[in-house]
Amino acid sequence: MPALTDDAAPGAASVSHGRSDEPGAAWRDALVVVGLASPFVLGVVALTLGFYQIGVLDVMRSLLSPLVPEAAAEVPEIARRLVLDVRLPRVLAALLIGAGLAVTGVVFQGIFTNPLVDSGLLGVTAGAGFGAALVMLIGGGSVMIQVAAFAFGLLAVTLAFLGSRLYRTAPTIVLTLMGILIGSFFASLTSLLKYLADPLDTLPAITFWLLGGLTGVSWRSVPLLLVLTVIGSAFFLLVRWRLNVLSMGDAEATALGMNPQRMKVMLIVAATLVTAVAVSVGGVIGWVGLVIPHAARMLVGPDHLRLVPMSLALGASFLLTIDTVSRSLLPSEVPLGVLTGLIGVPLLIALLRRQGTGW
Amino acid sequence: MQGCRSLVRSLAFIALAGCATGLGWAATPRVQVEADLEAVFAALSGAYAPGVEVVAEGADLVLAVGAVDWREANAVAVTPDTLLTLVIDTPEAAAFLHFAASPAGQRALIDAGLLPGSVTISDQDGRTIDLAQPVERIFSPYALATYMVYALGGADRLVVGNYLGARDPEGAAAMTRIDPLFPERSRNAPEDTTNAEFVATLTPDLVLASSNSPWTDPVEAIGVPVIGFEGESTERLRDAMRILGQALGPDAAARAEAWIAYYDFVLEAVATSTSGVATRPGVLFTGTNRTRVASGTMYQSALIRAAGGTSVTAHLGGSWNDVDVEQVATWNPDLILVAPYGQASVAAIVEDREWQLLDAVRAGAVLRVPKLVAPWDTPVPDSVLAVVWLAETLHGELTGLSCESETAFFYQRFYDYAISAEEIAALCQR
Repeated sequence: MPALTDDAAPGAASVSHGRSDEPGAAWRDALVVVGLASPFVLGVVALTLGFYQIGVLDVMRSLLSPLVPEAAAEVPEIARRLVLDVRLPRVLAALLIGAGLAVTGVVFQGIFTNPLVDSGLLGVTAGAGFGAALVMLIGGGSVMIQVAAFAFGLLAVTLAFLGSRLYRTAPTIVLTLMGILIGSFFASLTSLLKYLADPLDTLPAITFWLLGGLTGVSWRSVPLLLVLTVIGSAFFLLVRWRLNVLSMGDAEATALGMNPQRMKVMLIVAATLVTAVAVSVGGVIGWVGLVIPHAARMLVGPDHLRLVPMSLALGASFLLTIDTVSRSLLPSEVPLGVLTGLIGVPLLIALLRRQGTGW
Repeated sequence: MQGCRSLVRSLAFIALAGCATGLGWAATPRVQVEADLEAVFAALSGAYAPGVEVVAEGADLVLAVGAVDWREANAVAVTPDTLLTLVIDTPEAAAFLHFAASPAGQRALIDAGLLPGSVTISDQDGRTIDLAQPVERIFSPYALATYMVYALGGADRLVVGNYLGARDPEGAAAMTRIDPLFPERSRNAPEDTTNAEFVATLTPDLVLASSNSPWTDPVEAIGVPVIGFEGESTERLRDAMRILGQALGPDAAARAEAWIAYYDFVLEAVATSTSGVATRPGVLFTGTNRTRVASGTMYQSALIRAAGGTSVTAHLGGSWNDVDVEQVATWNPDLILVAPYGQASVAAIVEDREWQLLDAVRAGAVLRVPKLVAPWDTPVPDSVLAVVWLAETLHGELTGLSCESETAFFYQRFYDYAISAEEIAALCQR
């Protein structure tokens, strides 16, 4: 089979890895390795950064202290707790949320054969935003906010799905339309809640949450996020070749012996769970699910065999970098949604200018 | 020549000081100690470096069993039922009084086993925390709580705080007069959303937050205690003051009770004196812009009720409500209040042709709520003055309270600030 170039038409996926004869392939392979390794390296670097100055050695000693209590004997208690109870859960959350949002973006772009969507397409983020705002308005705590955001995110997608069943023709188009409608509906409900909220305390809290941020992340936020993101990502990695088939269109997928509808439903359910848990912890963080898949395609092309792992790695690194900047530079945190937009939009424009990128 | 002069001045000073001591103006404060309070006194005096002298009579200070009187600013509570009262106001005596109410004084009594080493606090956010005493470093990102700290005599312990109403030059200038260290305390103050790393750099032993702040979990995870506040009603404001008082030690607790007693006194005085009034004037509270009105659940409406008025928007739910001038015309308020923040202004209402159709506007009954620093209509200690001011506006001398005298009393008693006649005039003008 001849190698498809990166200029392949939308929807067509490269099924060959034969890139070594292309000019600059070695350089590109090196970038791929760097990209895949980046979350691990950046994760360690991020642990040493923060508004509170802690030396690299003290960070390492603190990290060792749960296993070897004597290791942190000379580290100030506050520094040790900052590393273990603030930075570590937050770095993990940033990595997991970034990876989750990016990979579900790839999945949605593959399923809907549309490069301009992300996993919020079916209303999960709008639903989650409403759930969180509702709990903040009635005065619930951080755990309640997370649970409600997760539940309403799933509810919104379920509604969109049920709505799409009303029409039997062109299911994908109707599902997309239903997603947009349900999303708009929940966005309106959220606006109504913001209108009712007390501008002195509740409204800023809702606004901040809707812009996304990991300010409130502690160990309590991590377990569900970790489990769902790891299981979801493992699922996407296992079935990633099917995304190649799906992205050729339903007719081709059926011809190749796949039940495209059932596969799509499974992928949407998995992607919705991963997105809902990411949003429930980090709030509405835009752009990651849209920009990162394109950045990953630049590096490895449109083949999902390589695109899925690369999106996971780049998404994790991107959000971790932005969150580390947000928490290290200023005493007040800049909402992540603001930073991802400010950095993501120029990045996307730069990527679109590049030749030789296909989706 | 210069050196010679300063030498002469120094010698004169020493001679005068010597005479003063000889005449009985002691450099160390003289304290009269009530029987059974020797242990309290011994703990305090033992920790006070300049030294204290015990006398049987003619004392500058008296240590006795008792409770703080809200009218008097000359006593501090060193334990919940022990008062140190200033009788003769000398600098030395005032310094010892200040020490007795300070964290250092509190620590001396804790070390002697006369005060508990920690207190259990249940805040307005559903937390129950064990708070180590004394609290010496407060970080208050919640602007309303910052003023509660001042009113409870804890300003010295404020490391960094947010200040509502201090962004405009007048507010900043007034706050600097109240507390010369205000520029330093407000420098680097983050917005309501901060993070644990920044909090850690301040090494606070108490953080004051608005209820349901999104950033408190990590702060608590590093072992810094957080108290959450939600004071949007008269009852909740009382609770907020009581909780903070309990956190800051016996004198702050006594000051919280004193403030509550004063608040209750004002509310009671207005309620009693206006109980026979047949019609309660309708009041409209507009904030941030002229068509944005306070709902019935907001503190502003509670203040209007307390001042013997009727909030024409009492039936509205939620927070600020956007309405149009037609709606305002159907309410036909007797008085329109304008918040001292946001884009709202008296001029914007008075000069608006549509608003000129309203009776209140034609009668000139459009007033800006006063503020020295904190807006009087927000749930801060100063809001007690909003009741006095508004009651006098609505009912004249009926309540027996005057804005001028209560303002002078309040700032002296609760902010330890001798407010000037010009400031009072500016606050109480109508």
